[in-house]
Amino acid sequence: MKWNKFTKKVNQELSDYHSEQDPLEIWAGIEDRVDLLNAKKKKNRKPIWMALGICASLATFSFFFLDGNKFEKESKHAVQITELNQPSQTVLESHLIKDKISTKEESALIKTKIKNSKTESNQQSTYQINKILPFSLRAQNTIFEKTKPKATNTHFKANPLTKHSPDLGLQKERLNQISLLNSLPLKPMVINLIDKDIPLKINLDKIATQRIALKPTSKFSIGLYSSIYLTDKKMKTTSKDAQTLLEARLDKEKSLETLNYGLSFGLQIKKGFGIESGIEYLQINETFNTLETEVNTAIIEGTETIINNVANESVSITGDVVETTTINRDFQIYNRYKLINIPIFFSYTLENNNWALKTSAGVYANLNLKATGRIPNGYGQSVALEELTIYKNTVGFSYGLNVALQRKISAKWTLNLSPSLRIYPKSFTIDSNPIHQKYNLLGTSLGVNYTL
Amino acid sequence: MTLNEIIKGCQNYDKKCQFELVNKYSGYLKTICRAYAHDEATAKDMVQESFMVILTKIEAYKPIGSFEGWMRTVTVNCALNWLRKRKLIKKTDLMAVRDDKMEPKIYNELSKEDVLKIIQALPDMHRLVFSLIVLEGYTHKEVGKELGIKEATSRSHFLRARRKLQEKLNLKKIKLHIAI
Repeated sequence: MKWNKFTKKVNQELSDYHSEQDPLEIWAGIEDRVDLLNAKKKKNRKPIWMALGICASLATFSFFFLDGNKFEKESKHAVQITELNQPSQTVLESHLIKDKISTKEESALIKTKIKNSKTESNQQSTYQINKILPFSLRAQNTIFEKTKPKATNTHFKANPLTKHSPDLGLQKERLNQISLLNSLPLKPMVINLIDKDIPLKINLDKIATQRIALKPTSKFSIGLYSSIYLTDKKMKTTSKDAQTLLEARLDKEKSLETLNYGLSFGLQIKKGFGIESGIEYLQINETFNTLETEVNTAIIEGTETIINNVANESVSITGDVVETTTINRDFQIYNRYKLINIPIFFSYTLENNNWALKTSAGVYANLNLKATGRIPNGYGQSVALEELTIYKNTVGFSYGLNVALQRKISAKWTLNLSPSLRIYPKSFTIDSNPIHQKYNLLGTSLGVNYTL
Repeated sequence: MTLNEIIKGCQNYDKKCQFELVNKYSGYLKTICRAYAHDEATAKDMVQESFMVILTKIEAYKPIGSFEGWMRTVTVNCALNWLRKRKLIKKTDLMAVRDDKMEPKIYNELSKEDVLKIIQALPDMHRLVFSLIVLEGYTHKEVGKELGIKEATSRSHFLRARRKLQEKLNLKKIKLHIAI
């Protein structure tokens, strides 16, 4: 055989040859390093997810919050007042950018002002309100004539509809038309409202302020809540070796109520729909009952009697004898799993007067998990959770569903009572731990919300 | 579990999949490492080191070419690094030797295991050069670059490795005949 044929054959035959090697031996040599690698990589991934979650929440809130500011600016712009220093006429231009502002409310506002106004003195200047109204009907012009303003508050002295209008019927008709226009679908169009015959004084600042304060469709709210849950703990193992330990844990660990406190931020995106986030603390409580036996031996001076049952004889030895003391301790230890979460929820609210029904669903991003207490070690003893590294630093995402009944207790405050369900799909223990520990929580949450 | 599932699991640092990978490819990696290691214990260390590198870098693995090929490249690099760290790669120049046109005569009678053992029994540098050229398909230039030796030195190592191999094969032949 030529060398090149030899090398080619060696190459071909050895390229896919599997030598005899026990994989368990290799695995045993690298398992610890693999665990470390996994823990490190997963730990490295956590901040990315956390950062992404937090950024997403912040971005969402910022977006809507900034949007609210933008809206406010637009509103301010909309009621920007330009007073032209003309000798006989002052023009108020009120450009309303008609996207979100309720023209109905504004119309009602003007109407109220007109109704409440009273005659005071002769008009010296005139205001013209140019409104961008939602409808392309024929233009209506109204000039509100202004009396000389006082230093502080300006009062409406004239009721244009009753006292100073030469044509009361016409004014009423025009106001009705404005009202009608305002209630029609939004299609921006400029309409001038001018009525030269109405002597009127308007507190422009007040109108502007009230227009700015027109209620936007988005609402920002902040809330505090506290919850109590029934705990459904699920533990299982795929390893036969861990079966005894699992049985011991199932036997000795009992779930108690889970408690939860949180701060929430909510934003109504559009009517009925909202997004909520915040931060919360969740504590899963359990008890661990164990009976531990401590055996102490000591050598004391005394008499030891040895009875021989067969011969029915007894021998007494006086001197150093071994004294054995057995102490049985019945412990009840409280185990706590403390979690810090960021909820990210989407909600839909159905309102009816002072009552509302809100359904929300979303995820809780867990930032931190800390376990305290003791669990059995499978050899009839217990071990402190702080000494174990079997629990994850974070359990990732859990799912939540809430159905809240809300009651308005004032214009700003709302009371919430919410049955809620949480599901932790991932185990609290690390993957290498043979026992997987998961939770489902069903409970009720009580809280208050303040609408900003 | 399919290979794709194993790879995806390993990329997600799933311990079960990592174990499956080790279970499936321990023997394969051992063969590669034996061609570079002078004994079984070293080969085992190299395999463990290679698996660690594979499991660490598998996140960046893209399914271009075969997975076995990618693992082979990683393993060979690991084996060479292992030898470098322990300063087992000697960079001394060798005098050129003449190709004496000897031919291996008994290959067909040898098992794969025997061939591996014979390669493993070669002196360190001879074994390295021989394995890189015969098993990995390196050229002498590439071997020189990889091991930090001259191309001529690589040739010299290869020819000497062949001579040694022939001697061992002859010895094996004698042993085989005695056994028969």
